[in-house]
Amino acid sequence: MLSRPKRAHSSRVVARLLQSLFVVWAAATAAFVLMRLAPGDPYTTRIDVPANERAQWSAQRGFDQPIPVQYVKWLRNLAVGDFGQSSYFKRPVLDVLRDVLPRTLLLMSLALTASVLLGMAIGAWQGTRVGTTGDSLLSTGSLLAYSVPEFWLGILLVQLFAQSLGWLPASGMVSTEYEYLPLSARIVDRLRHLVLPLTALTLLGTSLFARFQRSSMRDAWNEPFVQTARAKGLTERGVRWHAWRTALVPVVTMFGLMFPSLLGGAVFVESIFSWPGMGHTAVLAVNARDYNLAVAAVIVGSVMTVSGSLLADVLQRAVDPRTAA
Amino acid sequence: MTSPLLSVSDLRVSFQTDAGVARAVDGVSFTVSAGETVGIVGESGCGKTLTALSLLRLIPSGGKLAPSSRVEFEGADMLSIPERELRAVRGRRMAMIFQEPMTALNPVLTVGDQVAEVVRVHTKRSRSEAWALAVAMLARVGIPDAAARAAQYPHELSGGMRQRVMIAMALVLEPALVIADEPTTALDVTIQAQILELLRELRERIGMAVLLITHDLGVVAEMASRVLVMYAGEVVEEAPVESLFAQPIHPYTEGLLAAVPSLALASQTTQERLRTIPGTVPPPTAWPSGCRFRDRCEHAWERCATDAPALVQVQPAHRVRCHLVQEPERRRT
Repeated sequence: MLSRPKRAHSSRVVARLLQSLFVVWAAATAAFVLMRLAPGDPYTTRIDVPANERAQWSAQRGFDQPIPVQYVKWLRNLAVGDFGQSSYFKRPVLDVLRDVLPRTLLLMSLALTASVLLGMAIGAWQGTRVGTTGDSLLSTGSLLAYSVPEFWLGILLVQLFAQSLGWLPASGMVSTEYEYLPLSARIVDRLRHLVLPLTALTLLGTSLFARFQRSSMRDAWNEPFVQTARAKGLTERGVRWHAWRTALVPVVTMFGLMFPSLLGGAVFVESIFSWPGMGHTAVLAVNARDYNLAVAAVIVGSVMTVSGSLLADVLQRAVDPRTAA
Repeated sequence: MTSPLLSVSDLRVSFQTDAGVARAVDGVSFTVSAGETVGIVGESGCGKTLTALSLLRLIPSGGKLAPSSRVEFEGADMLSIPERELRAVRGRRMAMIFQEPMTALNPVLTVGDQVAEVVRVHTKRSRSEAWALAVAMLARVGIPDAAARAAQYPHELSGGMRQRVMIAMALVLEPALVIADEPTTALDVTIQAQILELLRELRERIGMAVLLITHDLGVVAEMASRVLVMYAGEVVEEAPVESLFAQPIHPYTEGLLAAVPSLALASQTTQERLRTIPGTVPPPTAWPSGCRFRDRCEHAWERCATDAPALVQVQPAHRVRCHLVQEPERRRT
């Protein structure tokens, strides 16, 4: 009886991984085709160069060949880990990714951590006090933060804290004089640049997690086992823990699904704050028709999406014994 | 005679609803002595579960206790003692077995943890000692291979096993009083008998008192020595179990007894139909004036509409809330 679910489990894992791989491949293929169907090529913007020279560059890179031919070549290179050359940065795509991806991951992981912790704390607090003034105020606040577009929120923050008040830098990761600063000032400078983009992303993420945690906590709070816990003589804190432990299940799922959507949010937030990360680079690459880089950005995004949903599965199994088979 | 273990007097719980004030429990008084088993019987909506919850001060939010209400347990006033002392009583001296073992157990914690938690909260025992005690208790309530079962989650156990876990959780610290709210209602008939047998056996061994809340007179007959019949938030009849079954006085009690199917009845050649009590329990926002049962009572006369009957003693341990006690000639036969 014990061995059978296990075998089913491992075959399910293999199936999930294959499925994930397929999703990444499909997204990359779609990006590849769409990029090439879009008007122009990587050299269209170089109006300083004569047209025949640009055509020659294009031909050198093979961009004049039919799309299927290009596709097969690109796929063959990709299979050995070669993402090609970035036409915009004039460097290998992998090098560009190595530079920009950590910057986004820094912003994202901080924002995600802060969002999860704050959102769960706020939502769990609300869930046991549904209908009170505090709960209504927080619900209104989170609905507001949730419905505001992130780019608008970003612009608002820049207007207020960077332009009107002048407290914080409006853009970039570091100041221009960064190289000449002592170590302590460098750290402060980096943190100051982090505040606004992080706030924009965190406000959004927090409102989302808070709304989720509130509703799951409210549901758990009305379950009979909460009364059982109280009848056992637990403190209110202990009783809340009982409810929260079951209310965690949907939030954990949300965590995995939020993974890629924060990347999506980062595309806007990075553009507004000129944060030289993945999102910012992806926008640049598309605008510059940097085929290889744009497709690589889509691959990164889809890998994050599928690993997010895999992570959600793993976490859910960890916190909910009913789904762990 | 020593003072009873539990003494409830004039318990009143009301709720403010859209339809008005619902007086769900309306002046309930009774006592339970140490080691005694008392049954509370009534249809759903009569206030029996709320009465039980009030004893542990577990009134659902929105419920208001009248200031005159008293629940005295082992010398402490359960309704006014500070939270801290209340928590020390809950689960340790007075425990509760809930009706739905499916939902009354936390689905994401192992059953062993949920039993051990009671030990951990109330005693200074270590985690491993508490676990060992939990496993021993699970074995005691008849769970086979308790050590392995303790590490499982509620969804991995059958309904009967889950109810055994509930019982283990309530009894692990050998409380003086156990409130069992419909402990067998959610179970299959064959499992019901097992659970009742288990409760009886543990009651003898631990020497605890049991307050059994049920709508099932059969369960009461098997378990209780004294019975309270509740109707519309009030106790309408209280009697030792033998006299209640032998000579019920309140028409509602009579109706309940007549509504129990019996094998003797079924084997009769003249197929007599099972009797039911006409009508339903009125809503708690609008109890009828006078006697609350009068709308469904075959004996009711004018006085019943104007004059609310009091609970009067008819025999040393037998009390009834009915005007028929004073005017027995009104009884229609």
